[in-house]
Amino acid sequence: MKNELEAMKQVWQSTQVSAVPEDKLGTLLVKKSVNMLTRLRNNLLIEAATALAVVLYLLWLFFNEPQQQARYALVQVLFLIIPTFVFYYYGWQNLRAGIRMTGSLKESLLAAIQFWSKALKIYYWGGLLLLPVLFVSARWYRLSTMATGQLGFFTGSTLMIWVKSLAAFLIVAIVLWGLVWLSYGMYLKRLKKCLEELNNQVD
Amino acid sequence: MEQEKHQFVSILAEYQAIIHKICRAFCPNPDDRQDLFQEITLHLWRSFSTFKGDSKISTWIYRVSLNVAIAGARKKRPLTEEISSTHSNIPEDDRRQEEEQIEAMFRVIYSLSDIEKAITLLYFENKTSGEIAALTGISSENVRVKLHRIRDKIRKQLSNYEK
Repeated sequence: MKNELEAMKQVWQSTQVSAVPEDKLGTLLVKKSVNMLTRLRNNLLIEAATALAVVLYLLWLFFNEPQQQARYALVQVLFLIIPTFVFYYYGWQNLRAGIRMTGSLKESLLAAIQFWSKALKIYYWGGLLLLPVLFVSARWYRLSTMATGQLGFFTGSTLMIWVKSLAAFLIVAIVLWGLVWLSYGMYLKRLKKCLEELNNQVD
Repeated sequence: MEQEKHQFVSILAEYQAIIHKICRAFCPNPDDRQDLFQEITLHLWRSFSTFKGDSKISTWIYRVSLNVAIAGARKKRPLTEEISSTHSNIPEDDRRQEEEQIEAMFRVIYSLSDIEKAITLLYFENKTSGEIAALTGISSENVRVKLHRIRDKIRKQLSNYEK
C-alpha cells in the first residue's frame, strides 16, 4: 500500500527545476506584491484619500455657497462623509499589518480568516455608509441648483421620501452584500474549508 | 541592509528549488506559478530579519511557502496542461519516460486538497510526522492518519488512470 506514495516521493525528489539566476532573484525583492490582500488594503487607502479630498472640497463649497439652506445641507453631507473617511482610514490601519506567514499553517489560516472577515465587513459597511452620503449630496445639489424637476426621487410627501429612501437603502444593502461576497467571499470560504479540513480529527 | 539583502539572495538561490516545486504543486498554470514564486519571495524577505535560525533554513522556507500558497489569496487563472522540467544529458527515451512520470505525479498532486498537498509535499521532503505536525499545527497522530488517507486516495487515483 505504501508503494504508490513512495514511488511518487522518488519522482518528486528526482524532479529537477530550472533555477532563476541570482541577479534576477534580487530584482524580485523590489517588485510589488500581487496578492488580493495588498490590493484590498490599497483600495481602502484610496477610498480614505478620496473621502478626505471630498471633505476638503465640501469645506470649500460651504464657504462659497450663498444659499442658507444649501449650506445646511452641505453640513449634513460633511457630517456623513467625515465618519466615512474615518471608517476607511481605520479599516486600512486595521488591515495594514497583513497576515503573519511565519507561524504554523493553522495559525496562518486563522490569521487569514480574521483578516478577510474584517476586510469584508469594512467593505460592506463602508459601501453602505456611502448611500446616505449620496442621498444628502443629492438634496444639497437640488437646493443649490434649484433643479427640482431633475431629482424626482426627492419629490412627494416626507413620508414617501422616507419610504423610498428606506427601500433604496435595503436594495443597495442586499446588492452590496452580494457584490462583496461574489468578489471576495470565495477566499474566506476557501480558507474556512482549509481550516476545517486541517482541524478535522480523524479516527 | 545591503549585506542582509545579499545574504538573503544567496540563501534564496541555494534553496529556490523548494519554492519552485511548491509553486508547481499548487499552480498548474505557469503564470500563477510565477506570481506565487514572487509572493513567497516577498514574504520570505519580509520575515528574514526575524528568522533567528532556531529551525533549519529549509524548514523556515517550507513553512512560509506553504502558508503563502494556502493562506495567501491569489486570483487563479484557468488550468493548463503544461508540465515541464529541466533535463540535462538524458537520452530521449528515458527523458520521455521521466516526463510521463512527472506528469502523472503532478496530476495526482493537483487532485489533492490544499491541506493534503501540504502534508504530501512535506512527506516527500522526508519530514517526520513530528516535523509535519509542527509545520501544520496539528497533532502527529492526526498527521499519520491524514497520510494514511492520502495514500488511499493516491492509490485510487492511480488505478483510475491505469484504467
